[in-house]
Amino acid sequence: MDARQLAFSTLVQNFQGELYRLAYWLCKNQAQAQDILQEAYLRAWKSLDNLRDQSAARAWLMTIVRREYLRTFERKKLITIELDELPLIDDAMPLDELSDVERVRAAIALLETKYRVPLVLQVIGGLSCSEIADELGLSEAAVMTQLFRARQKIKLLLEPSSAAPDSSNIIRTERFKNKAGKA
Amino acid sequence: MKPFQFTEALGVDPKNAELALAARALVRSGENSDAERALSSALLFEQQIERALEVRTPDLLTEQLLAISQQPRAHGSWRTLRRKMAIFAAASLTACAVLAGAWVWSTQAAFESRLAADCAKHLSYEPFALSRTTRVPSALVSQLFARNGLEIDDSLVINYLQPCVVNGKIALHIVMQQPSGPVTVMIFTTSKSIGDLERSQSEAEVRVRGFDGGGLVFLAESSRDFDAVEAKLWASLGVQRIQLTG
Repeated sequence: MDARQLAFSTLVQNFQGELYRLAYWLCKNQAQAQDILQEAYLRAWKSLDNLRDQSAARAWLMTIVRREYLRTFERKKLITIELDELPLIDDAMPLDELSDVERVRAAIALLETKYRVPLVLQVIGGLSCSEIADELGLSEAAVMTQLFRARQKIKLLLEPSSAAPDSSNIIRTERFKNKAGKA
Repeated sequence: MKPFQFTEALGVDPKNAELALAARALVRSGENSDAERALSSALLFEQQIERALEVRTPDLLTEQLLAISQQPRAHGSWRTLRRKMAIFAAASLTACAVLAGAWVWSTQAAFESRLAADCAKHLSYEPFALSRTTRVPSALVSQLFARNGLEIDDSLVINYLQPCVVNGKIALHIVMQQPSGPVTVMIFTTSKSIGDLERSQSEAEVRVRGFDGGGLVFLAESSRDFDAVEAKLWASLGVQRIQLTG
């Protein structure tokens, strides 16, 4: 293993977990997240020489993942995953029996992209509002508004009325969607 | 901070360290008697969001990603790399010469103090290193140590390992999780003799130890586990401990 491979191996070992989470919450699909991560690391490998400051590696890789997600989205128009396709939610379980974590997960999945992406970059990526603003090409004030609304919408979706007994997954999904739209 | 600003800030970034002070001030002034409770509730909610965003990584993902680096590179890229390496080597030599000149004029004690300060500063660049809990594969550990002219056996459990440049000096940055929290050790290989030092630096406890051909700088919030970590390192590293006198 040469020095370049060693440096790449360190990037894989250190950041693959959080980058996979980021990719997953951008596209909400495990297989696509894996593809995005594969492409992103391939780009990182090709342009590894551009990474001169090791302390910037994390932010550099996150930018590559986000751009790769956008590229995939533009190329294939495939980000149309419904809540029912989320492998993390047990469809057979009535909503009121979902665990707290699963309910929050479902609520996050239903957020519009413009709210979900800043939230994911903040919570998983550890980016500040100004860093998210740079990353998304928005003003810092706009990012702050989106983060505030993202949390409000999640809370609204988790209100007790969302947990009324209902065994129909389709109805449950629609109710979540309607509520997310109104929020 | 006004009550409405506090409420907005809770929704934007509840983990903002300033909010605890703001909440206390709002309760004391009577402007918002619920501020501290609201902050606790927001932090609890944030924990739920963090847990919800956790996703298990697929099996064999590491192997798939590492396989990328086995692909052959284009010839032009190697030329670019060689050119960049030559520039880097020249710059490194210049930097080393400047540093060497500075070292001649510095005292031994000042050298260790500066080393401790440089290491403490470096930690702020890689804060995520402290939260690593998975063990770095022994093969990778051995390779990186060997590249720095050091031998190490596979008994040491290292949770983070990264070759870093600390103020012009190459160091192996390692983190080991211990009962009282993570202990960072920066390992330098240098012909300069390094003496012992114990001090507090930038809210961290620091210990410096020398060996034949380099030095170790230990950093942690508490020095409680320093003895244990140091003993493990001396047992694992194939180096001779040196104690300078006078």
